[in-house]
Amino acid sequence: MSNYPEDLRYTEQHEWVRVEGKSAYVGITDFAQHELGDIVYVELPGVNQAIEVSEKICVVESVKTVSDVYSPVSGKIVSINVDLEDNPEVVNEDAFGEGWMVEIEMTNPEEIQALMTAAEYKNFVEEAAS
Amino acid sequence: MNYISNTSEDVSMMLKDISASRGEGKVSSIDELFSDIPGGLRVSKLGLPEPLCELEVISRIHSEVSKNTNFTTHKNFMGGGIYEHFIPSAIAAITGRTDFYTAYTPYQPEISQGTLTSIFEYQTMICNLTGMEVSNASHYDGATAFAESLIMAFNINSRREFIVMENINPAYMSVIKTYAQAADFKLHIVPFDRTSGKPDWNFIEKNMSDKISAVLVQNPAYFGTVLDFSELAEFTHKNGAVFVVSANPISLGILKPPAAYGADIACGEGQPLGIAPSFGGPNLGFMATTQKHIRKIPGRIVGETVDKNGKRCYVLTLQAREQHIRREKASSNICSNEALCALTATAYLSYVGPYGLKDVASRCSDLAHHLAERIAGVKGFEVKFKDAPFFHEFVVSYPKQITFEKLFAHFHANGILPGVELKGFSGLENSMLVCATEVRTLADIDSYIKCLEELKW
Repeated sequence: MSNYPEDLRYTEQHEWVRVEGKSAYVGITDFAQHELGDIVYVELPGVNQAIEVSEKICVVESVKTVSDVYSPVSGKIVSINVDLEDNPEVVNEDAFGEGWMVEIEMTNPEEIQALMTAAEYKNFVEEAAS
Repeated sequence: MNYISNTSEDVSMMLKDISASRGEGKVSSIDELFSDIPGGLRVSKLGLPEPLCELEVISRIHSEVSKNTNFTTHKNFMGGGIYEHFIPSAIAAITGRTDFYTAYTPYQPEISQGTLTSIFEYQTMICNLTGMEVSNASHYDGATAFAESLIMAFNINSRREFIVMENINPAYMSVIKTYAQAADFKLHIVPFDRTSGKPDWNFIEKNMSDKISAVLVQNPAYFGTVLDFSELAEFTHKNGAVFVVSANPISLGILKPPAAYGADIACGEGQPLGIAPSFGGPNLGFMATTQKHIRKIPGRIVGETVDKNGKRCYVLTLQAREQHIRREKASSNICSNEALCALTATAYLSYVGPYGLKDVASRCSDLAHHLAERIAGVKGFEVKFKDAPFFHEFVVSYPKQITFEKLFAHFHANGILPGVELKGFSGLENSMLVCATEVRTLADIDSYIKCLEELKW
């Protein structure tokens, strides 16, 4: 079963965001990794790249499909999880932790308020499933 | 599948079934099925000649074919992108095997291990030839492979402008322009110096920017000239752009592979590798890249793996990039390959081997250089770009008083195809592209020179 950590915010494209000060860490949810199946490759963006909300930041390739990951917030990419280049399966194993993809320095932290809470996202997923 | 048409019994049975399932009146003839098409649009009579028996058909075809000029009736010095090379009989013996004889990658590919093995070998050989790390399973032809590199470069760096040499094959240029127009790409076409044949370096420097996605060169160029592009490759990389080289695969028997001077994408026309020059193809496009860009290369890729018993086997790999999975986000709409032509190239390269390929390339080059020297000695004729090294093709200008039609007719009457007329290159009027491959002999060259000397102007 998927889990929904309380301290994160979520998007309808199944990205999660963890806010730490000005930084927003972004990854895909446990539900998303489960739907994708075994992840074999994560294409990461360049550091220092400016991005807008909803802009494509990563590409996740699994054995059955390829999906784009969109940025939940605007800002600048300040770091990427380079470990994923050699160990993309970490996204399957620990989607909310070691499976993070990018760290974004937010230019508009207000954008977080527009994202779903854990409870809202849980409802969203369960409604979509039913 | 058989080719026996339906009997009248078959037809009436089918009409009966159609009538039964339709439930709105009986269909009594095939014509009734087309009643939705207005009468005026329907063809009532095709005006075909009376049928012939097999013997008559064969004899008719032979008589029509005998009107053609071909490589057995004429000594050929034409190239311009499609080249006449010797094709050993062993090639057709291999490709004609029913186990292989299909133009298509099978729909359930892994069941056809033989086909996948041959494609894997093909990819390996293309990598050996170009020096690159990854090859796809092939493209339609050299022009589309070159044009696909624009889209690939765009997928690598999201930039929409390209620097393209003017002296590439005009047919490639035309396909590139078509692709560019549809994808909203901007092309900067680099003029070449009419004396040295070299691209205009100032133009390149002036047009290079952080908007440039790739720089595209052909080496040898359409005019046969060979250049060292390492400096240009370095300059391209410094600006974050991709360096693309289209190369003649036979020339790689003796020339530096594109990887050695900085190519990120190497492609080209594979027809010289054992595929007969035909009117309209089929041809073979090859395309290879570096490990870094493996997920950006279009088309199919065959990979080696092991089955559940640990035995070596082959699969179509990295399919998640492709159209049937990624839909509109796929890196390309190429979802098949030129399997039979790729097999032909594989058979050819295996047959001649690396030393054989070097011999073929050297002989082409030696004969072409001998021919160029002899032509330069005939009054009124000039070999252009004479300081530039060339492979097996070069530009010859002829006196203004002679038209190409007149020149061609004289050679044709003497059993020779003299070259390809150059069109659309300012400053190269009254010029033609002349090529000599390993199938030519010194006697053929003597005949060529004799024809040139006989021309009156």
